[in-house]
Amino acid sequence: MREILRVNMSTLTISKEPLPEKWARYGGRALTSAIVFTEVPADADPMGPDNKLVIAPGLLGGTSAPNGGRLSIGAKSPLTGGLKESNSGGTAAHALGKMDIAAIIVEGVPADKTVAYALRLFPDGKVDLVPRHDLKGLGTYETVAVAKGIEASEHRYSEKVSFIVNGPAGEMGMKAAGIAITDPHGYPNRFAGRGGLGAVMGTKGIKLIAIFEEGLKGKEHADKDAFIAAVRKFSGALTTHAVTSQALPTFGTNVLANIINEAGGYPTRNFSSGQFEGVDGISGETMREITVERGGNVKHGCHAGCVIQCSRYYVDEDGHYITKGPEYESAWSLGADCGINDMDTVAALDRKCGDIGIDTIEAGVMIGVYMASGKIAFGDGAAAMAVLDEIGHGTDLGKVFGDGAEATGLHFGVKNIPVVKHQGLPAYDPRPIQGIGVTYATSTQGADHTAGYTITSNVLAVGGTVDPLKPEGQAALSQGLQIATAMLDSLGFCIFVAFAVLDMPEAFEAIHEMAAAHTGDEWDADALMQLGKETLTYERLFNEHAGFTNADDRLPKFFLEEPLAPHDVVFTVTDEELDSVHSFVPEVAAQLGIK
Amino acid sequence: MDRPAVTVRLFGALYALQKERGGPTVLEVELPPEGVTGAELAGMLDLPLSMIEGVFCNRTVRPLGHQLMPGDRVAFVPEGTPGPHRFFLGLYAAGKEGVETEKTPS
Repeated sequence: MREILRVNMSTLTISKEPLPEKWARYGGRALTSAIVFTEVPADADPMGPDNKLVIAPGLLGGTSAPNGGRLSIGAKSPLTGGLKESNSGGTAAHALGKMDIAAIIVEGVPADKTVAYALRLFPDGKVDLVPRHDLKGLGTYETVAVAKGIEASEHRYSEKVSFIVNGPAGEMGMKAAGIAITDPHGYPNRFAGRGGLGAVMGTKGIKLIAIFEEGLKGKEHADKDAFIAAVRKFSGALTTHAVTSQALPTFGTNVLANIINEAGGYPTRNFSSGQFEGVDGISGETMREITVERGGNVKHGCHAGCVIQCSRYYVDEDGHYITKGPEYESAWSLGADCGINDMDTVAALDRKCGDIGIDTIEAGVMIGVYMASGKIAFGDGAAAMAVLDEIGHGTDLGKVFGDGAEATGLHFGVKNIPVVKHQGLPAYDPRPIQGIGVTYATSTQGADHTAGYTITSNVLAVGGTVDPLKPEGQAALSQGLQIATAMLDSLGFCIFVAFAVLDMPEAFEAIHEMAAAHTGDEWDADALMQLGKETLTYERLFNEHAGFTNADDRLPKFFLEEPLAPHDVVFTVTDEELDSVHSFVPEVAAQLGIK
Repeated sequence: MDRPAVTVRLFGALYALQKERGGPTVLEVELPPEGVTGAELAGMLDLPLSMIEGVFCNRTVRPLGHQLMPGDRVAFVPEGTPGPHRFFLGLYAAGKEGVETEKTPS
């Protein structure tokens, strides 16, 4: 029986309660969004006592479902003002799943704002909350290094422990702060980065969540044999499809750099061009060559059960770990968007972002905006590092930078600020790739690239005909993508599984077969899509209650007015088409009995 | 007078293949005035068609049957591009269309 672990930081009390029956089919993003919708007033101050930080493994968290170990963290976002789900890899999701914890809800705020707490979950079910002043202000890497030894020795557990860590940026309440999660080797390099949830964790006074895993067993299944059969079917698909067995494991997500650049959609120097002449220096191909030459690891999973293995470690010239191999979005934001073409510089910036606990996408977009102000030059890696240092030191200017791209752009009077719902755009310019522009504009999450991946036949049909430079069909494509992504996020799957499923119907079947065999409930393709729709409906309605209207589902005007080289196109999807993306919400809301 | 040619870039697994062969990953390839299809150009470069999902011609994804002309900017994309971009960029459609259709230049 899955439970909710409720941690009240005002009273410093901890309690457990059964997961309500109405949410029995929910996990991950569906659950974080349903809880935030239900328990957080839409007009709550994101930094106040009424906001809640919700942490949930997917419905299949704790099982052996391939690539099923993603973690959802939700709250009202200090950055967007809307409902946020930020998704991460790392080992914490499976650990929570094995403990039968459906979600941790952290609510209230401590009376003493100077205290840093560690929330500790033990294999025997015990949970406690202890002051850890020694960790306050430490970077994420140092926090883990200090905490790991002490916690393990104090409790005589092995070092098999997952950490969810807040960095200094989150402790200082900066709106671009994310939350780090440790990977299988104990590095805090997986990140729930988007939307400023580190700032929410900071208001709660929690520096660290430690989940001790020693002796934890995998979850029981309603039908073990059927579950194992579905796992084998799914794993077979992932290990044979080109997307999940070749490109990602070999080059990582940054294999996209050359491709998006060639398409003319690689935002360069604050979205002023669609091609970067220095892309070779920061591409996935180059990153692999450098890493292999230096003896770094170029293929591993970010959590147990990952069969795609797209993670890698970037190392220095002596082979010492610096950071995870920067993902495509990080290499772009800290590279091309800032005019930086050197992989070592990008990796150093990525490490710095991870250590101070700031979202790499928001940080890179922010630095690009700052560079556009003329205060520092595009391509100046040392100046970019100095900006991150300002954030880490919490200077007055650093607090502006730490609040993200929009705050920085407004402060310095920059004309073109690439944000939607106050959140920086990721690594695809919406002018030559109009479909991603629809997703940016209409996503409940603010400009978010992960709000759009899919497995539906509708997307296959539409996706086979759209012209990236034209508006026709893009809204329908984006709608399908957003629904499917919300579904995968709710089950706990890595979004990259979707691409095997696209071409292999048996893989799609395996997803609902795993859900059915694990839970004992009926699951089919329609039920999976309904899960995605319900998730988006909670998010959409919360945002409406928070004051969002269709006018917020729009790209900044410069994307509509300033043609982007080399295609020389603007974004042309109409407002009516954008407004059609969430056409299903009223019907689903009625089904859920919510308004 | 320059001889008619296309500039060809190789990405991902095709990049790695070319590196293994000791060749450049950005090439200038001479073409006949009437051009060649993407599949024919891949053959000229000894690139296995089974590895290729689509071909960029002047920054737009085309199927391998697309006619490439001298002066074009070309890039071969292997199977396996992750993300929704397989759809948004037209790679999925190009891969399904393959070499059987579209013999007209852009």
